[in-house]
Amino acid sequence: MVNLAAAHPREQAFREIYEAHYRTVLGYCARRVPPGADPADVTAETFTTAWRRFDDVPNDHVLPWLLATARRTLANLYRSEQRRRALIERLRTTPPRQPLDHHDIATTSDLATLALALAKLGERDLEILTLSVWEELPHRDIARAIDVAESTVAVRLHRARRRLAKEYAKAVTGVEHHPFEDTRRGGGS
Amino acid sequence: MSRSDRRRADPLELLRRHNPVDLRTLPGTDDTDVEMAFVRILAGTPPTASPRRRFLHRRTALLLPAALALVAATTAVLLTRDVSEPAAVGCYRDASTDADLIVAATGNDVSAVETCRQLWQEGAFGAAPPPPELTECVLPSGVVAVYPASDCSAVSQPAETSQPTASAIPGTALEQPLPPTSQEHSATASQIETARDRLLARLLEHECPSVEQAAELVTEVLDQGLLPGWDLEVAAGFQPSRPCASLYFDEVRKRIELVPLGR
Repeated sequence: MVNLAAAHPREQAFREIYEAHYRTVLGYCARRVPPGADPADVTAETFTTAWRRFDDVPNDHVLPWLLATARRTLANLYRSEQRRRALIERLRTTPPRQPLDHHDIATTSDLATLALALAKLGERDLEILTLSVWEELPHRDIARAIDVAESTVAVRLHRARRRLAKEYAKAVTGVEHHPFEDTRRGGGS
Repeated sequence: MSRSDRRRADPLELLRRHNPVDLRTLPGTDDTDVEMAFVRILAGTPPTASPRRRFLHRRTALLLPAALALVAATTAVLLTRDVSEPAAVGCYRDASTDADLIVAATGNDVSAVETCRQLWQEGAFGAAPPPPELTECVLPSGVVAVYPASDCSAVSQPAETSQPTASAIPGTALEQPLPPTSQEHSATASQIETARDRLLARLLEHECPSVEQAAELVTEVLDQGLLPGWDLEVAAGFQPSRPCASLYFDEVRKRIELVPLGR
């Protein structure tokens, strides 16, 4: 027997989560799916898992939980290298949008340099950097999204930033190379 | 400023400024496709990362908001209906909750099974002949589903979605006494049910009802006083690629919303 009277508020609660976080989860997936894949489908899979495991979704940390689920869904669907390349390639092919400040205008070449530097990083570095600057998650939420301690996030983020700065500085002189031409080994961590 | 100076920009800041996806450009939950995905998630038949599952019949899309109303906003409506007379039904291609499906409206005199059989005969599932047996089941969400199976126990479900199995026995899901809370909603639910059935019947007279046609029908029903306190609302997004109006009953906000769909 289905207790519809009990199911109704449950569905309403799920709808509130869906409405509050759909776009953010879609954005997370859109930044990471390989070309040709539909981020909406991955997002739907993520929310399907959330609905199936609704009792496990923590009330006070819904978004990190959803992003962790999206991350696992992506991992199940696409190989690590596919996701890493998709993310970097998307950045490389995105036209510059905002100048850094009034003195400095980022160019396509700057982005290519950045893409080259990112391609030298490992997936773990990439994930923590992008969760921080693209999803704009605080350390606490990053920790939940990647299932590590909050103190570990601070350390990893610091190291990832340092590695990015180092690779970016090195890449300045090699911007003419395609980011993937000489980085198939994957870049460490 | 020289080029080398510019390259001294903080790469992290550069990364931040060049987020490749601007959330403001993404569809939100006011988008019809996103709403459709929500219905299917609740029904246990979400879109997958493969292109396999999709709607197969134009009539499906037209009527999906009716299913949405059943599932999400007006669940109480289901409590007042006999399960053999649902307003909308999910017709599945295979005996699996993970199979392709079509959501279709059912008429007053047409059973859920007959509705789906007609879709099979119309070729909505391709050239395959209608299966010899179609069985009506009730999903845990309350959605009525029809599978090509001899009984509901033969319908496979993903392991994670296992729900109380008693709900899958046809005809039994709503036979027990209704919980007290459902009775409190029955008057409103009955009004919504009547209004929805009238509107769907009229809307289906049109191949692709325009927003003006749909608005006229809704206004007519509202003027009849069937839904006191309810208003009409037109969703954004009507455009040449999405010219057909469909309905979404928002019980919480007391709105009948016209939502845009493609042909």
